[in-house]
Amino acid sequence: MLDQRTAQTFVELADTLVIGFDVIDLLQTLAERCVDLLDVDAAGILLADPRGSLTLVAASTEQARLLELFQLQDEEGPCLDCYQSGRMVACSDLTAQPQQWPRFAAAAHEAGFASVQAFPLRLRDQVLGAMNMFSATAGLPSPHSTSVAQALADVATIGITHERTLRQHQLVTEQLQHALNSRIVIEQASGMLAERGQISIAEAFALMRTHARNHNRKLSVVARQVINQDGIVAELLDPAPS
Amino acid sequence: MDKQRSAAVWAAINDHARADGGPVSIDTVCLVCARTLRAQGVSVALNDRLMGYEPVCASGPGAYRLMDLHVTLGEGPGRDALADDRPVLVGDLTDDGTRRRWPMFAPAAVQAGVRAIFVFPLLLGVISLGVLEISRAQRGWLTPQESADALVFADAALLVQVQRLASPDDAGEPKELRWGTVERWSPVHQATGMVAVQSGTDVSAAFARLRAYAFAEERSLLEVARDVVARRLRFAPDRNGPD
Repeated sequence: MLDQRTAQTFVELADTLVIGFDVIDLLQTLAERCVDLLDVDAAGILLADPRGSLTLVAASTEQARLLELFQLQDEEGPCLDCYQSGRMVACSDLTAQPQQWPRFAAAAHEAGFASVQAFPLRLRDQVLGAMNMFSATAGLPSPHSTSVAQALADVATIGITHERTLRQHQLVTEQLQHALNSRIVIEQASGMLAERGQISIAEAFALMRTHARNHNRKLSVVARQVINQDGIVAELLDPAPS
Repeated sequence: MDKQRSAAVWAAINDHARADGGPVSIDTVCLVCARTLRAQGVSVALNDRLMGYEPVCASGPGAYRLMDLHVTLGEGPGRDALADDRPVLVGDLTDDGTRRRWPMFAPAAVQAGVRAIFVFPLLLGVISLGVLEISRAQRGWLTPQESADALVFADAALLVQVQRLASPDDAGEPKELRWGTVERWSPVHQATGMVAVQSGTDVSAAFARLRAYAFAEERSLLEVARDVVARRLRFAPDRNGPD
């Protein structure tokens, strides 16, 4: 049985999948909802750049140490294994010995996490990336949580490729590059806004995200405005009292 | 996703330039790309504010002809890729969908002996400099491996162009190009945005400046970027490097 919160999330995600939607907004919403829905403490979505690395495109929080964990997985970790095998990969206790990924496990433990799971973003025989979830408590998720998580990962795949039946590898390449580049635009804008306002990157990201939500705009559109227009920078850094 | 393959493409570009005795140029990238991907022609056109599409390099007469068509007809996959900032991949220029999309360009390109064309933007976030066009005489798609290689060639072309824009006559340019897979990680792009504000330049000049600094200091770009994000390193609003 689908509980009401889960059902609401899928309705919300379906609403995002309208014409002209931005894949980054969808993936960002997805990462945040994973945390609400699945009793995990952090979530992130990594896409495989055909150039040769796993790249983070959305995260539930912009906490620096968490980002480092995602980055580390370009070399070792559950996300990389999940991407390479195309299967769910979990570690129920990051302190148990011996560890499959010693460097990753140590860093994750240091950041306050005790268990981790990764779900593949799979399009038939192709794996596009993985969705990664971290929990502060040890243990494995219930079969119910696991199936909800995989369903959310499937929504991410549909969002990236626009359709489940996409046959051509070529179109996947086009969409994937678009998603990866949108994330870079957002990073560049976060840097500019952080410097203009002398705030942290995380604060800058949060300001843009909130503004995009409140004004019903795409995050990548707001990011481009931050880079090209001074007006929005002033508005973001000093919002008029409402 | 294959790091070794990606590194092999960079090595092939650098080897070719070394054999020529010069720094890596946009011509090097086009020629090595044509050879690696068994292309009929490879060309690079830049994002020109006035014309929208400015040819700068072609591996041979066939590639030149394709750019000429883009300029003359005002349409084509190269222009679309520039306008939309995304790859435009066409496996068969004679199919109906393609003919409808570019009613003038598609038949003219076929007439010129081209059957497939794959365009990759020179793109890094808002740094959008132009396109790399790869054409073939036979129809058919690039394999996933070939697409991955093409993306690396587009990165190389972007890098050459960023460096050329930043210092048109700088004799101290690095002779080798290296991207490194980590350079697409977040702190590099965040630092690029911060440096653009600090030095009062646009984003591509800021990216070039970060790279030049990392090169001069013999440090990785990611390390330097982390210092900028942590505010341990600032760039002054002049051209002489950090404070």
